[in-house]
Amino acid sequence: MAPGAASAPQAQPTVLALDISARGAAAQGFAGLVCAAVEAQAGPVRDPEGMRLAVHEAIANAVQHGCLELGSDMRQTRAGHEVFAAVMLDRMATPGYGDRRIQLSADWAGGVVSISVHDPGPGYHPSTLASRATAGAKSGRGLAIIRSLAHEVVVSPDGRCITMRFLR
Amino acid sequence: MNIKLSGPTIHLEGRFTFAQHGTFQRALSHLETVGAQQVRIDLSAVDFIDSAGLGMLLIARDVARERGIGLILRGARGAVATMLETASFDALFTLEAA
Repeated sequence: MAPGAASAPQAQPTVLALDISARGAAAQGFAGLVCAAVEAQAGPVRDPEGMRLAVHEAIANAVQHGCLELGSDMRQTRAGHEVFAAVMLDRMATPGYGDRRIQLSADWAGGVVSISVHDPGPGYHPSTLASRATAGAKSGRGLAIIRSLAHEVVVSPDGRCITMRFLR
Repeated sequence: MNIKLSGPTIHLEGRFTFAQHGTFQRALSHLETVGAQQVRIDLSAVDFIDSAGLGMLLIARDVARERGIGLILRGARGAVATMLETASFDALFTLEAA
């Protein structure tokens, strides 16, 4: 046995890891599949609907803002919404956007399940986003929803990775 | 998402996320031509809504307001009702129980 190996603290293992393109992650019901896989291994969480929605929002952010580099500001009007949808469709099919990879990982220990979503996009400074969306705002609500559903949320300083913790 | 347009009521069914953007355009077109003072969007058969779905409801609200139409959200239940509550939609729409 290597010196010190017996007493070295064991890092929390990542027990589920996925690497998927933006196109794959955008498939309908993908967040539900991820959460089902986690719950099949970790056992039930207290609020499965809440976890599914929070993971869905985190993946949608990683796809739209991270991989496709779409700002959400244009979704404030009907016309802007249509432009957003058209550009999204176009970028999804464009090499360098839709084939970018998102990494998901999950681990669980004690009373907590932790799920992280990491995208390769330009990132953002977490402090620039309000923790609660303005009433009536048609976009920019995803992170506020995640914060309301998860027990704890940590966004990496570069804005590319969100870790959500849920109670079991 | 399935959509059924019957006069002053728009029935939505299934998931309501950004992927349903194209389908929801039909609801917006219906709002523009329905000629009613009040329109209900029936959400009782919607089982999943995300932030993009909420955003589309707010766009429907704008379209309705431009035409002087009162928009009522009816019958949200479970996780959908929780989402409307979390987003303080009671201050933006008339919410009606099923």
